[in-house]
Amino acid sequence: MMEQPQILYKHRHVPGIHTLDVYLEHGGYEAFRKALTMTPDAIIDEVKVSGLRGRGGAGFPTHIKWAAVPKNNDVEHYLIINADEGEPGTAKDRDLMNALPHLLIEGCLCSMVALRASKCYIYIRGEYVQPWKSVQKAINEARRAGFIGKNVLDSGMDFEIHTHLGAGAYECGEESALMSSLMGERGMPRMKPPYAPLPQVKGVWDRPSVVNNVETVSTLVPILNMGGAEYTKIGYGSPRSRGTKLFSISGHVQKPGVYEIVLGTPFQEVLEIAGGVKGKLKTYIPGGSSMGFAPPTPLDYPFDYEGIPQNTQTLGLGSGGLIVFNETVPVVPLAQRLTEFYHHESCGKCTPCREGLNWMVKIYQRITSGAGRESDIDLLWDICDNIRGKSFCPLGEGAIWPVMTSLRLFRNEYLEYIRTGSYTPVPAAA
Amino acid sequence: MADKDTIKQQDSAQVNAGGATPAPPPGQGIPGAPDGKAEAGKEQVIGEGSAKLGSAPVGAQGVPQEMQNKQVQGGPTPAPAAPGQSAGPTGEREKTPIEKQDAKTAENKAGAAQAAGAEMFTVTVDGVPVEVPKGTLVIEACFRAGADVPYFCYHPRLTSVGACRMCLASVELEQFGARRTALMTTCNLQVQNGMVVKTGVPDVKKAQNGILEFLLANHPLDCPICDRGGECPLQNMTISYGPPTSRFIEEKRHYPKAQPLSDFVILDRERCIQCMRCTRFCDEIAGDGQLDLLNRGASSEIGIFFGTSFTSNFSGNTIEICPVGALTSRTYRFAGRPWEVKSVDSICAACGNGCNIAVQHRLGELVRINGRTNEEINEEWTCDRGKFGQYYVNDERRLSQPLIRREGELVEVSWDEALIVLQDRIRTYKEHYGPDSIAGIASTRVTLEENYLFARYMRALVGTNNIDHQMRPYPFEPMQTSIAAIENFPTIVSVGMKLDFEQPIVYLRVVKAVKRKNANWIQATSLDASVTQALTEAGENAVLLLPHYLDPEDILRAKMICRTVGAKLNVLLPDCNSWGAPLAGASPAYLPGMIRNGASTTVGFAEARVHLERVWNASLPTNPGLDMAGILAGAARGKIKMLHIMGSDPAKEYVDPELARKALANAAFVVVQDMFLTETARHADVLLPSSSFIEKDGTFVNIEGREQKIRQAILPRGNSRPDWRILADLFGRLGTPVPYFSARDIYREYARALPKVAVPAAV
Amino acid sequence: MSKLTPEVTRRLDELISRYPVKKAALLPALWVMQEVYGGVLTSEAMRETAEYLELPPAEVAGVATFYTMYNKERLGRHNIEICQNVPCMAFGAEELIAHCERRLGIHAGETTPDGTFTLSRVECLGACCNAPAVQVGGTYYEDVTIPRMETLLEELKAAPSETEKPPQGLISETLSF
Repeated sequence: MMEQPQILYKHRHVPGIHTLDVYLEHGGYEAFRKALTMTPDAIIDEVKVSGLRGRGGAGFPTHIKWAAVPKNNDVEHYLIINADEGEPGTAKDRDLMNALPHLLIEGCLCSMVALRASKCYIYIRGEYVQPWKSVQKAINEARRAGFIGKNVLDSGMDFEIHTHLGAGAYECGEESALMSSLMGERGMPRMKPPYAPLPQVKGVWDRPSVVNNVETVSTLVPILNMGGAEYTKIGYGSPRSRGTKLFSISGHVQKPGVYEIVLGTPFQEVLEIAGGVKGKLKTYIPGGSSMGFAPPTPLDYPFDYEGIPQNTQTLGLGSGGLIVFNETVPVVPLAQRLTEFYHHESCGKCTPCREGLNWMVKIYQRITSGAGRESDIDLLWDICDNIRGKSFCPLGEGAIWPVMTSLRLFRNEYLEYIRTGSYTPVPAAA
Repeated sequence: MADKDTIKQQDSAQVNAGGATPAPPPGQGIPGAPDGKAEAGKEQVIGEGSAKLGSAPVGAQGVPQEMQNKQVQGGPTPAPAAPGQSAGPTGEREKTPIEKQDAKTAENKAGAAQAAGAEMFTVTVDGVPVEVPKGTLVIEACFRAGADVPYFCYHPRLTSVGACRMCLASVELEQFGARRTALMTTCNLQVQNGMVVKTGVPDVKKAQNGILEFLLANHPLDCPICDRGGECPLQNMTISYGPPTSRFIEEKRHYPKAQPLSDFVILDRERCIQCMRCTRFCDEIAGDGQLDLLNRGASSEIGIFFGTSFTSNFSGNTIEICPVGALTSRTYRFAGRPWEVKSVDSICAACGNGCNIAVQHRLGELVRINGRTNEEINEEWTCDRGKFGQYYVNDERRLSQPLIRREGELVEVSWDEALIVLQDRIRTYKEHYGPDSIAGIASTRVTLEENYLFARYMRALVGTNNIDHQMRPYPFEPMQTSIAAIENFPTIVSVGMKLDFEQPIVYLRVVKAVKRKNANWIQATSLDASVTQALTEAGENAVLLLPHYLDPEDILRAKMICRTVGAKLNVLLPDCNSWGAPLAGASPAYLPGMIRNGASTTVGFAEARVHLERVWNASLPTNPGLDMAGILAGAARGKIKMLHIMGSDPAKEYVDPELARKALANAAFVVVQDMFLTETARHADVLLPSSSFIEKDGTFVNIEGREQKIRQAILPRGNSRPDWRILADLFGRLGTPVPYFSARDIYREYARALPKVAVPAAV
Repeated sequence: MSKLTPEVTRRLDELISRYPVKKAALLPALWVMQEVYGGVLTSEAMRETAEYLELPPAEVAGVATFYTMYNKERLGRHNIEICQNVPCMAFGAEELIAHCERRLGIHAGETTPDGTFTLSRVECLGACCNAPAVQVGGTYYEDVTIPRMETLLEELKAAPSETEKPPQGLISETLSF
């Protein structure tokens, strides 16, 4: 097993690293000082060289997103940090904000230089009171130390960072819904290209806005510290998946937790990092529930943006929330639970997601209570098909994926529920 | 025409509404389907579902081919086309009146953009290339190409939200430098040059079928008791695009039905499809945001704030734009099915804005008033006063028989009896006390024709210039901009007024300016320094809105300020014919056409007078006439013996009601033409029942000076008669028979009576 | 009686100052108002917020009802939020909820008659690696077993609620710096 270089989490376990003093002792805010000496374009170039891709789920190349921001300062530019981590199975941002709030703040500041932004809002989900306190405390410390405020470090530039607390809506993790929520509206998605201009041009308050994940901007700190060229050396074969990424590995593994893992590490090895599977692997969700269930084979593929084999039919790496299930777990209730979750979190804006999920929940309830019909399997499939590609935002898409993949992989289990009203999984190994 | 369409669609709609399987009518000629049986066989396949999941790859279409084709072959159950009517370009269906109106509105919008010199893009829709201005929405390009795109949430006057997902089409477009084809909603997608749109392909049909199945899953399908039934977009779309049966066997969503939001609007949340048209209307058009979405997801519902009422003066519009029966009217509730209701295009009489309306009636009664499109005035909106405030025409208390006073009591008589009394009295007073012992009070709420006839009656038959209509003195100050132009001013200053209630359509334009064009609306309480400052700062970018009841001195002052700084001044008059009355000559110093005599005589007055004497075949009185104050004071002192009042209620509305009451009490003989026993009418010696604005033809002149025709929708109630007919009768009885068979005859004469030389409109 | 005391308006003003438009302060303002009103966002609280931010009350109600963490009803002194999403579910969240329901004599979503506890099912708390997770008043309890839950309930019984902390609870505390 290869040694996993710790880039983001280099100082994760240093006692007191969440305080400014300790953070500074460990090279804190050096990247920001460096960024202040660079032009915005030079930073974006560095990011381009590093091959950094969004760590929130979509994996969009960060430099392309950033390059679309207008290169003038006629109006205020905004950096918005998506800390609305709500994808089931994903716990990395919470860990990062709790443990390394200054890394996030420094990452924000570096990004703000690159984006010519003087204001940054960190949108933290309402449930994350602890991370919120942690980040707000770090902001306060950084402000007192002169990293935030007017004319920061005599650079002539102003940097302001605010936290913005959500109030319980998974949908707000979607970039455009997050912007709605930030503007004090219902957390409903807004139109995006090709329906509307890019948010980088016309985002919140019709001004240039960039939404980035917590981990994405935090990764900027090591990239600037070591240089993009050096960063790009980290990683396995794929030229498009470079560097490390945080994975929260949960479920039936010996040592669940948040791990920083080099992109492209063989999946088998990833499981071993988490101590190996507890019992016999039945299925897993590679990157947050929206990605869908994957079959237990193959496992010998590189775990990165491109590596996940097509035949798993999952959507990919996603947010890095790997959930492992062994044979003791029945899948139909899991799929039901996820459908109920998406149904609960559907914003209600578009018809397929609002009505389709409502319908699916009712069908699942029938199936798991023994009132299912064999035609329900086809019906579920067709409802999914009627949602797929027709919903307004990715929530609908994400909601049907666990259903479709489970229908495909575990059809017999569904049939068992339909025929008998229950399903007895393999008993847990002693 | 419109009625016929509605009826046809309703017939078929009802079949589906009941939840029955609307098998295509036999012999309906569905392409590809030899007969109804083949269709029924296909239904079986769909119901059972033959997709084999295990073998189907997730990425592929997980639906059997038969199902994809189902829509193409059997889905659109076309409303039976009338003989000789050709089907649309895609051979689908006749569009509903609402859709036609929306398409026309979109076309107007595109036309305006094109006229403004917008870049033109070519888009191919179902193989038909069309040119549309940049910024056009794809759905609007589809309209232009004649393609059939169903929709619920799209509305040409609201911002697009892309919520219902019904308007999907297969669109080939360029994004990030690459061309791709995808299913896209067309209502929120702007056209690109060279875009290729396909509306009827199997993918699209399947998707639309699915969307409708979703929408109907929780929809109560209580169409037989829904007021929207018969003109319901959801019903219509279901017939054309919907699945024939539903696979939804679960319990539907339930809410208490028929929740009143106000005196006018009822909400049925079960029927709502969350298209957000009403909430967008309240936010963007009415500007008050009184309706909003509450809760989330499948529990989303529309509602007003807790414990409040839907008090917006524009609430009725939400009923009209609701694509289902979620918002319905309390006044129209169960008053008739749309196909039983006859509709007549007319003009609203509630205020001077001159909204174009459709007066809808059934069995001789007004059942509802809907908005009608006029881009220059009300676009397609109405206010609640216009929509709900005119049911007085159905009132049982309407006067239905002429009355004359005998021994202190008003007793019913025949028209002949009443008019004989009247004609005798006119002769008597004229002979004994001279023509100036008689005075006439016209009205700002009857037609131009009636005011004209009244003026001719007073001046030519009676021979007096004692005629007026103003319930308070105000200058005739024409608006310096049109209603529509108000929305283009960056600075709008209004003084006093509850604009949304007093001048509703002007208010909507102001809101449009504020919401869409970021205009600055300054609301002053009086003509104070803040007004002057705002006008001075904005100069010609400002428009000043004043109520007519402002102190005339202030109006004059405002006029001077506006003239100095280059701002526009709009003095807003109150009633549906506030301009028609003076134009018709129902003002002491004005001859028809607002030819002024007196202190500042209009150029060409003498010629106009000669012309009029020729038309009227009479010599006109030369004594200056009394204005309203003079008439009432004269009557109060007993100098005016006879008052003839047509359609107004000075005892209640005159600025000095005491004087009016005294005048009415002291005048020897009072004639009143009115619909109701008003306070003024109680003083009448002869009381003549007149008809409402929906019972006659005529012309209203709105606050801009725009002449618009009202049209008779129903027969006059009881034995009432239009004011013009009463007057025309009187003409004959006074020895000058006039050949008037309709209001149009009078209008022709009015047009002839106008001076032949151009004169300034007003002073 | 308006609860927009100078103390509260000072907080609201500070929040408003963070954004280019007033409306953007709506979510944080609702948090403050919820605490001012003792942990529940009453219609009066919404109306006052609307008035202060110059928004239509219906719009504020729309926002307040969209987000689940604005409480429409008064909760117990301690709101026990048990994560029910899949990672926690796989490690016995349902059993934990069932246990609490039995133990407290209420269903999830209800409050004990004495007003001490509210039991809530919540979606992923982001503590998937230490499932099942429970959150009470902003504090996480991870790897919660039924015995641990027992201890926790006992501890909480005596403890004051987070929202009772002066001056207006933890949210306001963190909002002002």
